Amino acid sequence: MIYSSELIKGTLKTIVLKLLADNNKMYGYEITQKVKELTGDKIQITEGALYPTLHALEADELVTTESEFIGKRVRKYYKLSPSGKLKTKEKVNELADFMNTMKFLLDIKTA
Amino acid sequence: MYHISDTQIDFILNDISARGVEMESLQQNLLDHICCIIENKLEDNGDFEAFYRQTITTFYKEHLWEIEEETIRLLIFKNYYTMKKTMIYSGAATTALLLFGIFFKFMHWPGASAMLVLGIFIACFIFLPLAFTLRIKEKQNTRDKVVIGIGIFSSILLSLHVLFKVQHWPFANVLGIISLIILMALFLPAYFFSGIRQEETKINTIISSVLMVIGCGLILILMRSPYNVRSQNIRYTAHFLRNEYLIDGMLKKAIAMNDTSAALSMAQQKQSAIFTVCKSLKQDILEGVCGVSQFDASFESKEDLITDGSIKDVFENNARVEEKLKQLAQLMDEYQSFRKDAALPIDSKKILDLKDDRANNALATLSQIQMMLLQK
Repeated sequence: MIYSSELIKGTLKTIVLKLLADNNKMYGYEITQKVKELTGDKIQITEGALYPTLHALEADELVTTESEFIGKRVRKYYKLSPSGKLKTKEKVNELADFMNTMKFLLDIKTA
Repeated sequence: MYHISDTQIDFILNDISARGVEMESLQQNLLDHICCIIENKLEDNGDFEAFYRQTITTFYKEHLWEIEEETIRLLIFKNYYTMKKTMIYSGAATTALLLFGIFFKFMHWPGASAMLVLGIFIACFIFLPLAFTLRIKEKQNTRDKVVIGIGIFSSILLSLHVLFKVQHWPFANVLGIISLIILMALFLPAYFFSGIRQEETKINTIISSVLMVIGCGLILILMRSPYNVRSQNIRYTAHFLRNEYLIDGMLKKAIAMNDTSAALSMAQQKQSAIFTVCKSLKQDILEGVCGVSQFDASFESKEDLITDGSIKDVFENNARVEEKLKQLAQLMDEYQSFRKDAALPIDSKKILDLKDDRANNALATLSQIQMMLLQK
């Protein structure tokens, strides 16, 4: 089962922030692959959603970037800033809390 | 692993940009991303172009530039909040500064004009431009955007007009007239006719339009018409000239009566010094404010008119003139120590306040001092 893009949309920022917190610095393609690998292909982040989010995080100064030349092309690595680290904790806690609420609201019995 | 050549990289980059992605950092991101996919998925001897064409289509629903559009939307959304916050804070600051400024001005407390100037500046250069930027984002059609643009522009001009007016800066009236013309002849009709067409904005449009007409009307009532100003100035000038004739007459009489060979007493010496300083100050004021130092009966046809403009600049721009004023105050003190019985029409301590006065008033005061002296 692949989750719908609506479900991913609201949590993408949190996913990206958490991945960066666990992996120091990452580039776009690496992030999509990592998510695929960790979720067993259940969550596939599209390019169309990932890059706008990365740019927004950069504008919010939650991440910093480093450019690296690979032959003729430039690879942009993303890394959490100090405020990004705080924000990650905040976002992960918020999502955890949200999931508990959803469980209660939708009356989901966990095994 | 497929090896991508430099020409292929150029090809991809050109294609991304041809597909409408213009932001450089986004171009680089997408380029690297596609290269990674190709390197990982394409066989060594695979068909680069076919694989690329197929891969790039998985990036979007209809067009590649949707990614850039989404990026810009997110970035603007971020600025949107900061802008809105700044607008609210600057609006609050303007309101507070104007309210306190007006109150202080009424009470004649210090700091009033600093507050008013700052308040109007914030309104003109932070609040109103931000209000403009945020409002046009909400509007869809160009017509509404233009209407808001004209409205905000004329409000800025009108606020600056008031600021220039109270600060006695040049071109205040020009600003006022231009802003009122734009407001009444351009903005109001455009606003009225675009708003009245839609049922939901009809009533609000009518009310706001009427309020605007009332507001502009009140400002215009307060403004003096050029005709009025001219006839007022003619009266000031005629008044000044009559005083000059009186002084001349009195002076001739005094000279005829005095024995010129006798030495002048100390009081008389002071008297004559005061008289000379007054005369010279009057000339400085006339030159500074009206541009001429001599008036005659044909002043009206020559348009040599005395105004009620502030004479502050005459003193601020010329230390010598200011010095004369101080000298006058001192001479008046000395004169009164010789002639305790002779009251002058103005207290010497208040003489220095003359530099904040209006031209017509200051001239009248100086003439009165001369006349009083001639009566002794």
